[in-house]
Amino acid sequence: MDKHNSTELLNSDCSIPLFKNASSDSLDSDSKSSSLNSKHGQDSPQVLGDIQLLEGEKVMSVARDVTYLCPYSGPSRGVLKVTNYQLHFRPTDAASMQGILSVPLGVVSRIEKVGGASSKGENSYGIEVFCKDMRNLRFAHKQENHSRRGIFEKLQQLAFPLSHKLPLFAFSYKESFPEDGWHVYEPIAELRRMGVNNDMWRITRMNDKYEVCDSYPAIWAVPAAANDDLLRSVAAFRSRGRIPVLAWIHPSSQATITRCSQPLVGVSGKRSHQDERYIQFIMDANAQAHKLFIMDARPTANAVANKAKGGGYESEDAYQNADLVFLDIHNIHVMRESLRKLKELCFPQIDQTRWFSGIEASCWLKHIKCILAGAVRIVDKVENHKTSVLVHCSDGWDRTAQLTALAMLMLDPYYRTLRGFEVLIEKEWLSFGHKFQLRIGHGDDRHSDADRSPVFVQWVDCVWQLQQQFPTAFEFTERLLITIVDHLYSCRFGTFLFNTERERVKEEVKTKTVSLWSYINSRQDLYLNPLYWGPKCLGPGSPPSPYSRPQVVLVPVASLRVIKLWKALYCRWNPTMRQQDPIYQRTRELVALQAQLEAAVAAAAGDHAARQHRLGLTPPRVASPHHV
Amino acid sequence: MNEKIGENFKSYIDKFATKNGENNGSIQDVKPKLLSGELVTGEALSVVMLMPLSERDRGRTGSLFITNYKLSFVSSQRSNNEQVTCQRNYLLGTHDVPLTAVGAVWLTDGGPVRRKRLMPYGDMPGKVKGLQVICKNMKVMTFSFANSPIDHGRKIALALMHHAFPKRHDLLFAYECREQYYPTLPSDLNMFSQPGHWKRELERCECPHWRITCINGTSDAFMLTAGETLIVPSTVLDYNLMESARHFRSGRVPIWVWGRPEGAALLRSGELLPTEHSATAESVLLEQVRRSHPKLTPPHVLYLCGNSFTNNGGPSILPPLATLQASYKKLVELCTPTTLGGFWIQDSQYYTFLDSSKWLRYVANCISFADDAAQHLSDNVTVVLQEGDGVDYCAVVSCLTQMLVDPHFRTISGFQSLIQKEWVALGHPFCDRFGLPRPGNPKDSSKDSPSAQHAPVFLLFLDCVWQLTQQFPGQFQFTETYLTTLWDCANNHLFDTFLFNCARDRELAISKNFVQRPVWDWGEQFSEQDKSLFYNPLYTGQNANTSRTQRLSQASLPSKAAPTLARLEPCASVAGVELWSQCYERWLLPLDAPHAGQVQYHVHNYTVLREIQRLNDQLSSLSILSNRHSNGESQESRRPLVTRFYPFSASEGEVLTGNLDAMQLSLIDASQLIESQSLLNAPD
Repeated sequence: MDKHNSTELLNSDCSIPLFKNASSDSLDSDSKSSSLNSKHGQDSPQVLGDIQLLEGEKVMSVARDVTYLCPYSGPSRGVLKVTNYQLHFRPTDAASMQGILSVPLGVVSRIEKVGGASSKGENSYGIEVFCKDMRNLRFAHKQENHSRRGIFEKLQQLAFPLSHKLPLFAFSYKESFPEDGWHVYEPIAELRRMGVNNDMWRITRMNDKYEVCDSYPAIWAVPAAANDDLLRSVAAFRSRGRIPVLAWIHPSSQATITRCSQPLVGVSGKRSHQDERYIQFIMDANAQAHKLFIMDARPTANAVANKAKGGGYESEDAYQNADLVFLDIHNIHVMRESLRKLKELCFPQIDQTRWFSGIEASCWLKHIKCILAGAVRIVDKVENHKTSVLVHCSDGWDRTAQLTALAMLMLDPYYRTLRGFEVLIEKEWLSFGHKFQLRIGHGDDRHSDADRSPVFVQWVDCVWQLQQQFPTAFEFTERLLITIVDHLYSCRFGTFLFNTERERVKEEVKTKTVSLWSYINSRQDLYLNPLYWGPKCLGPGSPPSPYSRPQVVLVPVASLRVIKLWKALYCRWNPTMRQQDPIYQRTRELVALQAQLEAAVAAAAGDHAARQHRLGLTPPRVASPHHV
Repeated sequence: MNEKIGENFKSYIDKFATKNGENNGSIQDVKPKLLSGELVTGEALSVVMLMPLSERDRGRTGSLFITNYKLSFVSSQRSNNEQVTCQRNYLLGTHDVPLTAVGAVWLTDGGPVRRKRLMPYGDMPGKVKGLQVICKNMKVMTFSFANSPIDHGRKIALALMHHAFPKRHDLLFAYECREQYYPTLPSDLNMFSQPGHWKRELERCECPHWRITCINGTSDAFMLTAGETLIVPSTVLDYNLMESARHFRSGRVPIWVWGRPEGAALLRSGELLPTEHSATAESVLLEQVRRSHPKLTPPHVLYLCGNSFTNNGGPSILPPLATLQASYKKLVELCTPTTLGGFWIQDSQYYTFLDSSKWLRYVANCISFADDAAQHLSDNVTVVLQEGDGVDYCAVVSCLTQMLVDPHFRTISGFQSLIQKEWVALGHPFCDRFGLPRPGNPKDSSKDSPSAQHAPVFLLFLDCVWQLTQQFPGQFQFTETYLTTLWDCANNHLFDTFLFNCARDRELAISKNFVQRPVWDWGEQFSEQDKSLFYNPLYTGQNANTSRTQRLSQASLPSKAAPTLARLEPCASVAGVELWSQCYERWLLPLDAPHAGQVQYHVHNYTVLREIQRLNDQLSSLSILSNRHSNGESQESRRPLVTRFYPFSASEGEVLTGNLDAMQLSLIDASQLIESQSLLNAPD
């Protein structure tokens, strides 16, 4: 099967420890093809036999005579190795790098034994590895001497280090990069970028010790009118102390996006005058509107049901000038189930007769539509009505983060640059306590834990939808998004470990692990979008053209006619679903040519001027040494 | 942005809204532009054309005309912003529709809600408050006659129903048009209308084992729906052909359409007649086909609609024409919501609707057959396509196969030649498939009910080609805008290209002074600027692409295969095909948005190319020490602001202020620009 020759590019760019020298690869737009280049990674730290090890990575177990049962190209014999970072399989007969499988153990969700010593049939005895990144791996072992026992136990231990009282690989990984990604996001600098402090908003460090709210960051921006005592009483009325704080402020209208958790209203309909006053302060901080929209991300029924658990929503009686809107986005359990159905549809084989009905039944795209629609409503209120919006769900760390981060991405072109995007993730997701540890389950073997959910991946999907709808609005391509998703699971970097800023500080993540942004920023060329047309492209000093200017605010169409399935992520392991002719490559060539020509023209013009100069003012020199 | 956004998104459209009925009364000066030979046959004044998918009854006021060529709405409001960024057609105004492009007509109560479908020659109610016209290109136009003088609605409806569905072929406007036509077809366009044209193709392909026969042009003709020239194995005698033809439907014996010097060829044939009890006649000819292969490799037969002798069906065979037509109708339904409510209802079950139309399934199946055929050809095995009368799916799959294996057909003139060869010369019955009356006496054609023959086979083909352009963005010289325009023009029967069932009918008409106007003379309809959008800025050219294409297919070409078959390997899975949004959804205003969509790639690349061209000019002028450097032009590269469905955007208004000079590329070949890098290395 010719088509399947390339199957074994199964490794995404995270799964192969990639060479540092990224610039040589700058024309390569396609993340899948990166593995082709992995053999050129001469400067990777250590090469042990055939396996490339990261700094701090060690081979822990080797199993020979193992068969990898690839769902696309069939079984292949080879050697399976397990390190403290990855699962590595190399076919014995493969002359090239093709057929090599390299999977970070962080993506492993569960490992199961298949068949017994007496199972009939070829390849019926072995282990199956279920992954978080939309694939499963089957290996077959010889049916003698418990040949799988050693590797199975090693895998269990290394894939789930936390369940075995072992450290995550990120704490052993020691590669150094030219830039330290931990400095990408500085909360004060980011607030200053938005003009805080100002008359209306102030920065407070009252949560310095994470005592007011243990899942919030140390630094908040709050209405200047509210003193610290008021903030403490508001914290008592908001679930888990997550009080409304500033996420984004409109540069001209001063309309804001603030985020929080649900109020503790309960069945009895409790009120907090401090909370009501505080909300009024948020509204008053924006002189343009006499109204505030409270966007509750949940479906109405869920919000009502939360009253029984002591939560609830703001009644419009108590909050006089607030309009409450429910955005109908479902909870983490619904999303997990939806993605599970999608995986069934996409892996391993695509059943053509069930494809469209399967997409419909998974509801994944409908959920995406709902989230996009919600974010658009926020954007509309802030941008068109100059009205401030307060966003919350139940705890304010899942759907709320999705909505605020997405709305900010639509409103502010800064977040659509590579660095800005990193800042956005650091700020809205990491610092405000999206529970990455619980949702992903790093190094934890409880695969069916009810707290796991693809909330962040779903948000990345929404970002991809924006990219698809506005191909010139982002400085980076989908390759960055895929790389982020890969390292969301890989546990190679400290970025997505732990649940809150507090835990990360306690565990000294910044000093003991490497940031994903160090890695990404050292190979930026791979991720840059040659079509990007943002404020940056206009350059300093060039006046904004009256004819054409980049779009500042993106308003996507939240229709299933436009929202697409992200096949490059969900169907990435299927070799027949590859985009065959990367669209960016040719554009990059053209842009490079343009730059070359510009330089040539500038040089020629300079030369020309110099010649004119010489001809006019200086006596011509014969046999100038510069003229060859 | 608009004020209403947010309720439930109903609203992107209001911003385009124009004032409702302010100027009624002052409509005297409004007249449609007429072509020579065109006559106005119906007229309604003070008509409101409703904005598509608007919440309220907003629209433009103007007059509606029916001529013997088109339906024409002429707005009485002079729009000061006459859609600069929209594709303009010299023959048709912005709100004009050729009558042959009218698909269905509905009565309405004046709003967007349909009441009753009007049938040709059916009854007309005494009062017509509004009409809704569903065009074959999925545009929906809704007219209200609430402000019109009494009876105008009914009169215009009568005129429309009378002229849009003529009973005789020679009532089509193509026979009446008196516009001057001076052909300026490119010389590399092969029309396949004469034996010499076929000879040219045979020589281009370097296939020595095949011969040209003109027997089909004599009284012994056996394949009445094809032209006079056929290419057959050189060992087969004309007598054998005539003998065998009696066993095949429509006399469609296997005939050569493409080949490679190494021996493999591509053939098309019809099925054996249902009365045949064995496949003997087929086997005899296939044996001759085998002998015309230098290695005597037996041919591989692809039964596109299944094989009646082996019951070899399978899930991937192509459906009967009536099923395809039904599928298309569901697709049209999905793409022509008439109210905003309907639009969002469809959205809520979008994939269920898409699935039930099965359209994309058929698209994927065609590509899958073509991929299979291309695979065999690259293994140097001859492929015979077989299907019904050999004029429908054979043409689709044959064309796609050739585009996959031969880069020539991925150029514009190659593609146009391909359509001339496979569709026009080999007799795809356009009249029947488009639902037009057949030439000649209408009573002759009563063999089948005409509606059973009605099927969008050609659209299916264009859709498949579009899928290929999406999968291989740098491999085709033309853009999706070209394909969409071609579909629009296929429904404009002013041109003769898609007007006849077969070459015989065409010749008969020509003998009666019918003037041929090939659609390929794009300058007749479009400006240079519009035409430049047909050219793909990413196309790397036939010569330049060898290295890239080879790299693409290197891994996949079996080593035994002969070299240099630049084969594309498409994804033929349903999961790999997409809905052709530009063609089918471009009239859905809620989807149209500035800076959106795939078209931005093109716009960006056009801009870069233009800039490269400018810099090249500047560089050469500098290097010859000319004094007129930089001629004062601004250095910044300007990019026009376009919306998702550019250049077909139906939206009007302030959004569309762009600088279109940036699009003017004077059809430069991008590949040559890359070559010009050598210029950089030249010492100055």
